[in-house]
Amino acid sequence: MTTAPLVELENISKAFGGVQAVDNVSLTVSPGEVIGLLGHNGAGKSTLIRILSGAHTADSGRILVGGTEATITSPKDAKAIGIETIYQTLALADNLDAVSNLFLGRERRRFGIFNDRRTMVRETTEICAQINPRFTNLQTPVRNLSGGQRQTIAIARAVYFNARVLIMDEPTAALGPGETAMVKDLIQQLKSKGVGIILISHDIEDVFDLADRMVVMAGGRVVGRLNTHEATREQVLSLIIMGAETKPNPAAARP
Amino acid sequence: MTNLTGSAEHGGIAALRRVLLLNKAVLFALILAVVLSVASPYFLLQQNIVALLEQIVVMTIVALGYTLVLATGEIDLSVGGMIALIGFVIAKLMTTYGVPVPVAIIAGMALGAACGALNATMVSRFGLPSFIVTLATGALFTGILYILSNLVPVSNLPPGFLAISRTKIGPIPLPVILLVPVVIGFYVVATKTVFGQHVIALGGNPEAVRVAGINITRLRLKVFMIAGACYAVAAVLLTARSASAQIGAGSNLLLIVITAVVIGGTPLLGGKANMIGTLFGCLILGMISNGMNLLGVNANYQIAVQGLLILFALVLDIESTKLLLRLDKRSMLRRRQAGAL
Repeated sequence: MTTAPLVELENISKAFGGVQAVDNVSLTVSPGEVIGLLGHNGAGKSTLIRILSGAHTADSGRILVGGTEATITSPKDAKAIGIETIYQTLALADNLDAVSNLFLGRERRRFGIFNDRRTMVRETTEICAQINPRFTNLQTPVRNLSGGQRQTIAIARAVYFNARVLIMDEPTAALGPGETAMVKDLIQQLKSKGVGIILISHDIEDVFDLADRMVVMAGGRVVGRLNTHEATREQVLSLIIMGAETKPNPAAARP
Repeated sequence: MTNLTGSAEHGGIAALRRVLLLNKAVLFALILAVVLSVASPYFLLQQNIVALLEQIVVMTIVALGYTLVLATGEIDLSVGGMIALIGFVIAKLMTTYGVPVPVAIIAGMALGAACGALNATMVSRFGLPSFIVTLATGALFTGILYILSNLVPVSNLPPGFLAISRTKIGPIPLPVILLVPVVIGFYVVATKTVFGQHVIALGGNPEAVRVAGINITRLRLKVFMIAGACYAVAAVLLTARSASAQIGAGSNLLLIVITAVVIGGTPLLGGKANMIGTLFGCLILGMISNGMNLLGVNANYQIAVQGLLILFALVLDIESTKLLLRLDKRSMLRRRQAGAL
């Protein structure tokens, strides 16, 4: 079964000064597909992701959305075509509450300039009830919230604005076991709704749990593409660490 | 059950403490008013109250604009230079070039906005700290004023201009009446508008604002331009009140205004914009100076008192923020223990 890809990154390159952070990388995401993006710190994952989310612009290469070329020069452009990003830092304003953070930059307005606070509170309540029913303190500054609650806001933002492609940068890095389970469950839900997900994680078990395909980067290049059900931990680890597959020891790979 | 009522009562006290901490300027102003009315029989006289309000108008208009600047996490040290320069330009336009009063005032506000735009552009374009930028532009504005004026104040202003500060409606001077819509306007901007929300968010986490797709450069530009326009209004009122454009006009405002804004509950590092607090911060400073005059305190002491007050306000700001955080954390814990997570 083949579905038309949601997003295609074609031959993307980006250099900072003399450093080639991303070198001729291509990547596709299809509806309902979870792509695990793996690699060491400095492998180029974050830069690639930031290009797709509009925080950086690529030096060369193109981005196709639904088969047509898209120009993404700012986070606003990316959001307008349904690409939502959950940054590792979550990008929340700590001094504002969940409601204000969820709608930051996309506020519901009255008379063009006023915050439609009432509508935003109502809709935040609805969306958060779906995602994490135990999260109810929507009107306290988010600096007082737990990691899971903060993550809920970041995910709620993506869900509320109907993400077609969701980029998640280390979504479980700062979470406890219960909260990690909640996030994994959410990823499954979004996947079943046809959202394409790019998952960046250091936790290889999370990726094996959630991803359909894995893309491993090293030194700005893609060094491996694997289907999760065919891949082994050793294979993936060696790609991450050495940038190449070691000849698998048959005895170890097939017990 | 007893435990439950106990904790509810405790919650009530905590909530009260929270309200007091958030509105410490209002509380402090009330206490000061009571103390002064006991200490001096003149304090509550209508003339004295009117004089007090008239004294704080200029400071308050500057402070309201300044609250936006501080809320974004920036600072503006060019206030004094800008006010003196704008006052001079307005006066010169009216006297030497015969420009009509309203046109001169609008030109002054445009100049203020332009000076603010220069500040914002230097900060955004070159990534410089506003502290350094505005220190430099403040000197630049003062220098331009010295060159243009040759240190000679401008007087013989047209009567229509002087009427701004001399008109009274009943017992209340026009500038005091003008202050009312300005305060309400800034309150609405800070609390009800999308722009105000973005200003506060910028002070909280600039990176979050950037990735939310908000144009920070434009936001900062608007804030500094609004502040510049406020300084221009202050320059108009100062010039009208002293019936001349003084070279040193507004030079004492910077510290007073920062103190008032911080006392009012807008933190030095931004992330909050408490306009009502700013109004009460200005009232407090006005009352202290008024009270010292009424009680016959030597004028030489007044500046030292102001310095001490600034230190006090800054310490209070930091300590009350810490205390608020602690209270919030405690109430969060209690909610979590109560099973609300």
